Amino acid sequence: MHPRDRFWRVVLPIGTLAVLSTVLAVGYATEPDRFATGFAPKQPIAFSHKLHAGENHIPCLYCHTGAERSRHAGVPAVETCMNCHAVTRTDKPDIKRVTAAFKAGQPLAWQRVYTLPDHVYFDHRPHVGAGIACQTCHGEVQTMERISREMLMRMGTCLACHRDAHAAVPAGSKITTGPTNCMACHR
Amino acid sequence: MAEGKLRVKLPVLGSDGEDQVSRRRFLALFGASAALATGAGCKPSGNRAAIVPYTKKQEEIVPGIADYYASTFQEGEVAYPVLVKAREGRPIHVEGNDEHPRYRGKTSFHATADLLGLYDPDRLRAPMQDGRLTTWNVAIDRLASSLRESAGRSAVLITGAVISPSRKTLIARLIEAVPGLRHVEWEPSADHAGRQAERALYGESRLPRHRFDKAWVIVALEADFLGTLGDTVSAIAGFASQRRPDSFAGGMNRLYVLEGGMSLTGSRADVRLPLRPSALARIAFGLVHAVALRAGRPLPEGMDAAALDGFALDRLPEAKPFAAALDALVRDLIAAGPKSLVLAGPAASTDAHAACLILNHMLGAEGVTVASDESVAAPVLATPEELAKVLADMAAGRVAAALFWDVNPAYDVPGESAWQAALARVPLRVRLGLLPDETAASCNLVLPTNHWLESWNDFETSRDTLTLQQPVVAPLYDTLQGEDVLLRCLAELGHPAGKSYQDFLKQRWQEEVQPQGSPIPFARFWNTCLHDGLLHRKAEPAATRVLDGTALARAAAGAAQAARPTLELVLDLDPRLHDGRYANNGWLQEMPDPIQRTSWGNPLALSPADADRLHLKNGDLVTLDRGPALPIVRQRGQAEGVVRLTLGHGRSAGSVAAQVGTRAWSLTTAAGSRVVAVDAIRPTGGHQDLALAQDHDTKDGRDIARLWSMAEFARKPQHEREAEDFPSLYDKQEQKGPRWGMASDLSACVGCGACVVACQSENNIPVVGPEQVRKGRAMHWMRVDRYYEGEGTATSVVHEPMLCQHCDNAPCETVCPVQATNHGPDGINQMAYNRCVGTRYCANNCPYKVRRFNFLDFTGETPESMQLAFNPEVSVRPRGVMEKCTFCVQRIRNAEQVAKRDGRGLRDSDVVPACASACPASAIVFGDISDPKSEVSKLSRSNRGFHVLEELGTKPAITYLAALKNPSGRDGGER
Repeated sequence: MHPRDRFWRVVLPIGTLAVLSTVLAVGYATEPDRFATGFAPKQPIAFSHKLHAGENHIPCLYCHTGAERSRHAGVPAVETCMNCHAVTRTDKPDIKRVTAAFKAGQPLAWQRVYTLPDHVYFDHRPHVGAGIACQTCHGEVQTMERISREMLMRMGTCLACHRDAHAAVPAGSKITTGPTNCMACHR
Repeated sequence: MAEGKLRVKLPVLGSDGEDQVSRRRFLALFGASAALATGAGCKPSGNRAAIVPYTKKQEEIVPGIADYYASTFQEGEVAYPVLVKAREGRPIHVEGNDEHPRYRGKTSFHATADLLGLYDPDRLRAPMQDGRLTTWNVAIDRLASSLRESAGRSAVLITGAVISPSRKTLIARLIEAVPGLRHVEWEPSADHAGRQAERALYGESRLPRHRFDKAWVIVALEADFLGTLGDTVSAIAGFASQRRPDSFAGGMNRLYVLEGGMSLTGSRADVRLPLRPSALARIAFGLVHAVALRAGRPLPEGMDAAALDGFALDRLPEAKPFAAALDALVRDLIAAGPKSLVLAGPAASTDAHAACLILNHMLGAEGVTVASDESVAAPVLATPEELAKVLADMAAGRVAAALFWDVNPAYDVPGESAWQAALARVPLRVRLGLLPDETAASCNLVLPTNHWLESWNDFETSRDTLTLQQPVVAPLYDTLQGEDVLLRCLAELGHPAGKSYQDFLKQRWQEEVQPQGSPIPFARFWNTCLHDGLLHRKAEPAATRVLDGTALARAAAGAAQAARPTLELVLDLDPRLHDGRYANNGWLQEMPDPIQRTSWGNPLALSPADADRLHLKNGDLVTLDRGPALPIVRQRGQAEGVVRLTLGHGRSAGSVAAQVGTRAWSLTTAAGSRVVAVDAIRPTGGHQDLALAQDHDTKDGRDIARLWSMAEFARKPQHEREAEDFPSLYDKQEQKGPRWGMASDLSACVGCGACVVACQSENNIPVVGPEQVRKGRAMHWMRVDRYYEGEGTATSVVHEPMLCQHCDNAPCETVCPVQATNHGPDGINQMAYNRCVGTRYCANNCPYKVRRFNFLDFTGETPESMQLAFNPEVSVRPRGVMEKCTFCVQRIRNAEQVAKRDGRGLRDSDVVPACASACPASAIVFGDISDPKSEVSKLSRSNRGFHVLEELGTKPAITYLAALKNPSGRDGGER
């Protein structure tokens, strides 16, 4: 075989394949988790949103009180659980653990499901204020036994809605777009 | 724990490796944070942190929302009311308390910067006995038993100035319980000469209360009231309030400064007379002579006109070169009468102070600009001589126990040998303080105290207001408040006075402060006072005082005999480090001196004439009669024969403070005089580059920082800007909503630099160290440029706060290859850090040189405790990223959301960036320049307004208002 033939027939295709697969493998392995949906870590307490938000119809803001007044929606204090569980279902093992944690002053370490990089300053206030339902970003939480990530946490997802918000905002809303300049979110 | 290992130097990303322990890394040698961050940060995302909510709901804390607490910051004899901003329970920023009528939301930048003191990784974390950790019980036991057994020999308690009535009461209780205890109040930086003069003339001394807002003619003799003398904040506010006329007819005050060096006050003078400090007393009595003679004001009882005979201004040799100016000064003083204010600073002699007191008295300024009837009695401070006597007692073995509470005499007493000898004979030496400083090093019982942000207290600096200090955060370490240590001691000694200082304070307020027979329950009264941070009360004015003329005659005789040394060394307080107490604060060390523009150190200032004679340029090393070699800086406007050095540098303890600059306290005389005769200056031939923040001093004829005399101002047509509309190749920017902009009044700006510190605290700006500053890599988003005009005695100065101009046609935006910097719809020149690839084209193309590049990893090694000072609303920038002023976009975004929630539009006062909020002169105004009714657009239309480099067509969003100078004579126009 002519040496140049070997280059075209063997070295180049194998080389290209090797480079491509390396890029893809490294890219896949180092891809931030936030670029994937369906992330559902195990939580310290097997808290069921399906039961609380779905069947018992507890409003989201009962626990996530910050959503209307702060950047962060927040995770409730253990004390909030005790509002009901001081008397209800006190025999369940998980409730016993919650009670023990509350009495001991031990906080619960909930696993973060929706993660943003440090240079992104997402603010819940304008989104809740615009009447956007929590489910628009967080999925049908009231049907989830364990919470799982339903939104692709990429800037493209944010921008898609900020460029055309009609699917997210309630019908008849005056809001059609969100800001798309850098310092709306980055600072 | 991993922490031990981490103290070993880690290889720093992009380390220059130029010096053994590079200054840049000084912060990095402490704490575990660096490696924790590297370890945890391997994977770029994922679940870096769990969400850990509170167990019990915290009433006050909503994660993401800042809380504000009113408190008070004490510095020597001044107490500044402050508002502390806290996020999730940790203090992150300090601003002024707007409830206080005198300060109106302004505070000293020392208060803002001292946030770092709370998080200082050097802090003492637990009590130590003989160099070993111990418990509080053991420590208190030892202290109490030693006080109990001090019978026969005395015990000494040395504190700073006590201006807290509750602390004073507590110390009085301790003195009752321990009969041999002596209490000494030691403030090395106090104006001892002024105090002595006041006591000689009036028989008592009061805390100074000067009303600069009422003064039309101000004469300052070595009195740096804008920079270092006492309550600088209300001085700047009052002074600036009379320097922003809308038109020539409005008129403004006139400031005469007589000084040797160039101080911040001197830089704002309308007429500045460079004089040697030794001449001041004679000239001051010359003024007394002239006022008495020309205005026919009677001299006080006991003072003969004959005593003033030798002081006629036209016969004083020192006054000869300035005859015309002094003549105008006298005329101005007589014309202004009660609206004049004459004051002297610590470098002026007692006699000069006496002359100032009598001048104010004769002109009728007492009760008008010198509001001594509003002031309370000054604490009786020890003079350096009195402290020396105490040290001598210690050296003689007459002292059984010595307590040093928040004072650092080992550093600020002249003569180390006296200190060593004194301490060697004291069996129990107790240090109550924050840091392991020089004094703590020679103590055998080291008791860590709370930072002021962790403490309770009250302060009384004027008759009508009491201010409260409350803890914003629980003690970070195993520390106690100094007062609590005394209380526990009292309990141990069998004289219990209260469970805690908080209870003690409340009880005293219930019994003594709340008005008798008030129908309001105490709990409500107390909570209201705590909320406001202060209590206004109606107080009887202090008794009027009688001036003793015989003392004045003695002062005049003294002034006549004042020596005339060949070379005078003036030792002034450092405007940033004060007496040295803030030397471990990286923000203040890196903040450039407002006049010299040097950071990290205190070069010796020489007049250009003297420097030329010795063939010296900036940074050349010289030695004085004694002390180490030190670099010089050529200072325009400085009097010949005067050299000036600032105090507060040259500490030997502290990871930031140690070995920076020269310890000037060792050069003071035993009597504590701030002016020292020097025989000669000897160049060593060595050189040390200064860490200069600005290497060009003049404007070279460019109109970049406008300084007008009143006469020039009068010639300008009203309401007509000189600006032309320059043609532009670019389209006009599209604008949606407000157009954010700023107006900066150079006439009000005194150049103090409060904005620089506030910006640094608000925007997580790193400290880079002297090596990097020398390379021009300081990271300040806001700087205050200083330009000189004229030479020698005609030197004038203009200060110009310089920050990103948020140009409409921004040169930086067009050259960024990745669009990391671009224009926002609200006019903000945006900077997206995550997009920046670090080409630095933008900085290169910025005509204002306000863009800052992270050449090295300046933030990655921030110690864990100091990370708590970060503002969580602002990104911490990594290496390789460009950054610059954002107009505090985090505050804008928050204000927008708050307004939206309240269902209203943004109001003019809704957004106040950190610099504008901090400016004691209110020289910076921020707002929407597209709204013609907003304060900022009114100012932008001022006939003093101009844009810097507007001929480039950048269309900046910041309008500067020309600085005004109001010299006497033809140029100024008579009032």
